[in-house]
Amino acid sequence: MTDADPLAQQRAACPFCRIIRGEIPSTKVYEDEGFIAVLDIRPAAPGHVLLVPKDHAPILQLLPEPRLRAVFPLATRLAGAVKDAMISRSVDIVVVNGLAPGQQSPHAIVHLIPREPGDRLGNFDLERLETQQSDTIALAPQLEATVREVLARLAPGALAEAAPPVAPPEQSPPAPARQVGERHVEFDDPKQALAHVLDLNPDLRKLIVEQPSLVEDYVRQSPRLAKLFQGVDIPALSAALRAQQADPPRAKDMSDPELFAFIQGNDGLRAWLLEAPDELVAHVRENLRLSAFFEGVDVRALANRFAAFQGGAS
Amino acid sequence: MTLETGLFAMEVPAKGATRGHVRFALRSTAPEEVGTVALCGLVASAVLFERLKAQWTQFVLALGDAPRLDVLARWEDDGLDLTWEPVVLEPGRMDDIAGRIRDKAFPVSSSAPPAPVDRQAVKEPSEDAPAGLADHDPSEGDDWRVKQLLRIP
Repeated sequence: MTDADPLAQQRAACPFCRIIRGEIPSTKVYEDEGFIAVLDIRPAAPGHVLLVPKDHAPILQLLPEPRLRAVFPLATRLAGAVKDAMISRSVDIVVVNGLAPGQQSPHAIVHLIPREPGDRLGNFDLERLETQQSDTIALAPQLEATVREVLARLAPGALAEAAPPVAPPEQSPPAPARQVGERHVEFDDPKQALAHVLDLNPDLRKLIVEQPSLVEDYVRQSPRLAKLFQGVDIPALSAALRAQQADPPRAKDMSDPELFAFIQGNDGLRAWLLEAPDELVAHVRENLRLSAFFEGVDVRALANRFAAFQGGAS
Repeated sequence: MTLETGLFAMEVPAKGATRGHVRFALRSTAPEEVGTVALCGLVASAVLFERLKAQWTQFVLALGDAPRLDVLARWEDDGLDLTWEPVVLEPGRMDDIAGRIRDKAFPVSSSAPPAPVDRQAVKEPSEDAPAGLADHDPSEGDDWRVKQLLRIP
């Protein structure tokens, strides 16, 4: 170790790395190749466990990806073990990411804290929501886009399962569909069924565009998906959808009923138009996607028309 | 509501516990699904950290009756107290607690949940299946990714 190796110095002095190396005694309750779990010596409640990655990383995001992906499923399983062992009502998983005041070491850890009704940790319930957060509300589109992007990689089906946006009337499925349940529709033509699914699931469409080979893997694995994609050349479909995306929808090309249906299918946009149209106007100026979508449209006038439409609809 | 998915509903409440607060209502407490939601929460926390110039971020993932993940941007003067006064345990209590948790944590693994024995006994890997997915039977929905994809209407 040299002065030029600050991470090694930090690791050498880090109390959690020293616990992992056995240089500081601890009460270990779990260990595998990537993690140890020890009892907190300053517990918030009896049974308070610290889950410690063996990699020295100041924040969780800096863990190697396999470790990062493993940490919360493991924490959840250990939380179940702690809950059973302590016969507690529930367990909170708490992470402080970054150097908070009083934090002892820049080593990312996960707290597992048993909870009981009426315990002295009610502040963790976060029931008092009193701070205005207009800055964060303004960030909502970026938060949504970023989370969508990650979820599309981690669990694309979860996006596909999201409440489907309402398609504009002209894009609704054609007549041969049979409504057989609240959300379930049957088609005689498999390609029509696939088109319907793609209409309702923009994120599945995105997955096909961005990762056709992954979709092929899923289709090989699933008889249901194989039926849905029967006779479909997925790479060719991907290329076709990509070509469609080159010409994205624009508000000015839609009639009011189409546009209102589109807005109804987008909770964030709907809330913005109804509750904070001025903020939306500001974001349309800053956000390329929004400005492209609303190009040539008076957003405040649209908000008024949509509010009137909503009032009439309700 | 900002984003609704098959795993969670993400919301930026009008008023928060701090001025950077994102809330995820979880639809499941299955470990792999919680893991996915938590990773989404980490990404959201990075956005809050960068854009709001926060000093640090904090997660509170409550696995109770209404499972919920609160992602908070934090500042030293934000007025939110998430500290605790340590409880003092009687001598020997730590060892007792550790023993009980070890017993319950014994079957836990970070690599994968324990597979049901009967499935392993009857399943043959498919030659057509891609590497890493060969031991999953999508019809049973054991692979959570495929399971999610199968839920499309």
